Amino acid sequence: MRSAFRHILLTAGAVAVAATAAFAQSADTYPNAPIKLVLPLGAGGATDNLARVSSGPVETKFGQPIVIENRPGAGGSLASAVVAQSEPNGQTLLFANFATHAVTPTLFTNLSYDPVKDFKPVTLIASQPHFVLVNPDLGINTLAELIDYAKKNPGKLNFASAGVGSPLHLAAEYFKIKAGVDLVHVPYKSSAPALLDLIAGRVQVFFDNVSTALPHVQAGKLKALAITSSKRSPLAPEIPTVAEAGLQDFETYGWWGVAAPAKTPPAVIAKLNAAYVEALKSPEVSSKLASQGYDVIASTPEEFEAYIGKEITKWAPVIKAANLSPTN
Amino acid sequence: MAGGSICGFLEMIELLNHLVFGLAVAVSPTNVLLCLAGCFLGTLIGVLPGIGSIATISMLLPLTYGLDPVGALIMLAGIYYGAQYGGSTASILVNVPGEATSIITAIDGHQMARQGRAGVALGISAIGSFIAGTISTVFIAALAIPLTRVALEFGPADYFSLLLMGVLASALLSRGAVSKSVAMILLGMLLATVGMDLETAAPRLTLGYPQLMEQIPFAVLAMGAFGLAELGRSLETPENRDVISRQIGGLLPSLSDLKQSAAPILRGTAIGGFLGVLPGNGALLGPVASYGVEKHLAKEPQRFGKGAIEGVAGPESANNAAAQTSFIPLLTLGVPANAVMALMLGAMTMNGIVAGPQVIERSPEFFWGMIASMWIGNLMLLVINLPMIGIWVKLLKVPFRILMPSIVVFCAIGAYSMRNEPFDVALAGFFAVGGYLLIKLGFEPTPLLLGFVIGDMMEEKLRQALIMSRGSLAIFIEQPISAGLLALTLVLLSVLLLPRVRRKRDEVIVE
Amino acid sequence: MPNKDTSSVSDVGETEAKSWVPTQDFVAGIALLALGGFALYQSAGLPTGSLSAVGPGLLPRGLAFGIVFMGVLIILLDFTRPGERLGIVHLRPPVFIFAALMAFALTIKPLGLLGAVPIAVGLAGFASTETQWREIVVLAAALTVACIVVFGYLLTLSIPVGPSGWPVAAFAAFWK
Repeated sequence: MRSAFRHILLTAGAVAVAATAAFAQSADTYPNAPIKLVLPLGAGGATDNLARVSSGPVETKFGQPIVIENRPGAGGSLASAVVAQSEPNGQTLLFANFATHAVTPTLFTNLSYDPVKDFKPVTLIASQPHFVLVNPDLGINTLAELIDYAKKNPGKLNFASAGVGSPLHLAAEYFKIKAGVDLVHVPYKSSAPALLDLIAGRVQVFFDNVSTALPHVQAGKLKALAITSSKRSPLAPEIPTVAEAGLQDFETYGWWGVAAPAKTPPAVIAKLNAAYVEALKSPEVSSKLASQGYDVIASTPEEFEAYIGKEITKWAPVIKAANLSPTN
Repeated sequence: MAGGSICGFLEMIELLNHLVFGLAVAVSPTNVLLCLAGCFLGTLIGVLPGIGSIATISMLLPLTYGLDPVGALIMLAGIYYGAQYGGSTASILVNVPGEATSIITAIDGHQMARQGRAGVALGISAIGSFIAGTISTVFIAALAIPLTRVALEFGPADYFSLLLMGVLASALLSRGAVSKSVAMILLGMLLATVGMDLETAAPRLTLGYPQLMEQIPFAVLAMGAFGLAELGRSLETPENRDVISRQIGGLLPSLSDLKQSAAPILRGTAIGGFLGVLPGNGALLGPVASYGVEKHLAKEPQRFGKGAIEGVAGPESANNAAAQTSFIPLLTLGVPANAVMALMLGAMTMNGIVAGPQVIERSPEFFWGMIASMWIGNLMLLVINLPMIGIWVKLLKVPFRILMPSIVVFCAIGAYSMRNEPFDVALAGFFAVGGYLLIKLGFEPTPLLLGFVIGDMMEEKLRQALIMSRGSLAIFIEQPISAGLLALTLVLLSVLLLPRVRRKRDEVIVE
Repeated sequence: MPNKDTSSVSDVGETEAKSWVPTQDFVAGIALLALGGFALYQSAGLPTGSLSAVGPGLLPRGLAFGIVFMGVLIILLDFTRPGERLGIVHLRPPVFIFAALMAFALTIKPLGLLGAVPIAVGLAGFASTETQWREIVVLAAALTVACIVVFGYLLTLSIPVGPSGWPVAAFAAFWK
């Protein structure tokens, strides 16, 4: 038992030595240490890729690595909580998205942090519109035909969703409201099985990201009736926008940006914004992201803040209409 | 007739052409080296107890950034095979399965290790995997495109019926009383429902923890209720585990071992190869089905669970065949069949390869290079691992009092690193205590884990099927595949249960 | 299935002598009742819906009922044919394994691998009666160094290596 005691002492000693090595930092010389960018999703996905591509030049400019920490779960609220509760010195940032800043404020009523007030937006990096996809065997060729068919046959068509409360799910729910049609929701946990069932014709309608859906559209397995942005996509200029196809006032995007803890000094926010905007405007990054279906935005902090506000108001009624239970 | 054979001959030539083309891509020195490095590192990380293949791949993923697209994917595939094999090694040596597919290997593989036959178990697992990998590579090259149809034909109703069959198999393949297995399957399925409801986002059984809003990670449950709980149990009876370190028999499988394993390997390849094509983790039913088949066909089924080599050879082959064929939906449809394939898809996008139905036409060098690299990957696994068996087996000589704290630490790091979440480490600890108590009450962790994995998919498929049929249960009989599977389930059930009932009745009569 | 019931049924005398120890299956059944009951209580507020609109509560409640049913069944089967007695439950191993993981969970963020690994190894050492503390100290040091090198630097995971502020990623950047 005496040796056990000694062992604990040794451990404690090592810990104490390590603790003194912590060092302080000031806002003027920001960033003087590696920056932690917390992602609300797992490693290896599209969001992970977007974060890495857009942060690459920022790393070079700052001469400090940006370490990506994946914290998936609970609609992004685990990642948000980490950042909201971290030191507001610009060393810990959140890779904000539709889930953390458009859905969570309405869907999660009992959070340990305030999803809006605890953050200071840095920049809206990019957004990606959706395709309104149908199975080609349905014989529907335009958005107007789809709305017409759905109105004549209420509750006959199935639409797929990938992830409850995801942009792919809520875009379709929003479409139901705006077009005044009744489609039956078939929930999927991820996009892959939803795509398979759509190709096989077991579900008929699906709102999916342009980048994922495009190869299937080009191969003729799926039909894209419209794109949900205000402009046509350079990747598929033949697909009309929803407005051109006859449904006004209907735009949906998945979007991604960077946010910092609320009390981060404005000087740090400005420095971060400048670095990210410069990175996103570089031909290398912007062309890479454009080829993956993103619209590069690179907004100011104020524009991003306003955008978040608009998104929350836009989606709150959709979330209620979709019968999603407000949860803790 | 003659026309047909000429046609067939031409097709063969074309297939060979494609494979040679693919080999030419994959066999560039750089790519072989990348494949080798991937396999080696994958094995090395995957063998750490508690770190499964998904965790291994996401840890090693950054190594592939900056490589050319084909090279990156080939390395990633190598990492995947290495991680899978490493996971089996951990199952066999220390009884900690890192993922669903190696739960079954742990049953007889670890028993073999306890009997001093760890080398044989590892060897047969490598050899079986290689044979299964070789056969299924040719299979994919020849049939990838027609097999795509299978993936498309399988709807939610069919899937549900298949999973029902999986539940039945899991209840019957375990060692103990059927009533206790059923209870564990139900408990596993219940644990799978923890988290946000997939349709309404309502929190279910989360006890107020936001960390439980997402599903309980499989690896956390597996390392807690299976690995760490067993670790706790073996600590209380020192004599049990001394068996492991006492004697280590031959390092490689003998001729009679190979003979005994030949048929299970081939059957496992067929079963796993078919189930692997199905989207949504169909792959993990492969080892379960293979184990069930082998146990049923065996002359002495009571050997199973006590170190039967067929119980390792069959499921391991099924596992590896499924690992290969699960590439089919990704390569031909651009739709990932499971989480690992989703990571692959992410890597493809990152490297500028558009995954989708046209990948064969647009990037043939990628498609055929990938298929050829599968086979090279399997060869590498064999080349790396047969010599390494000696090293792994020596690991068993490490005294248990040293091994035990190391396993605990690796499990903690494995649990943490999946979501960078300390809560998951504590959760693994909680499951370790719960699992230990369940073991003391005579329950087995295997059906619990199988119930968890199957239950997760089953609820999703059940609800999708019922929504599509607008609430009519008839959908399960109206869909031909589903109806066929249900009929098969009934036949199997009667075949398996009748002798049991008769035996019980005989016993009663004797008494 | 070889059944172990026959032997214990045959020596009834012994069974009665030790009747204050419950059978394993009786306790197992009670445990299932408790688990199922807890799940039923926790899922009480979830709507079960109907076949055409399955609610979030259908599966959890259905499964919990199933577990309760199996608990009752196992207890009844045990009454008709009493099985083996409950074995001795050793609390020391699971409790210290739990403590080791719990300590790791609590210390990994503030102290990093440098603090969490030795603490976890130390606590895990208590799980076994044959622990030799000299070995454990060496093991703790070796594992800490190995984990920091492999997971912190070689794989550059986002797992903290040392106490917060420790210039971990600076080294990581060097390795890149």
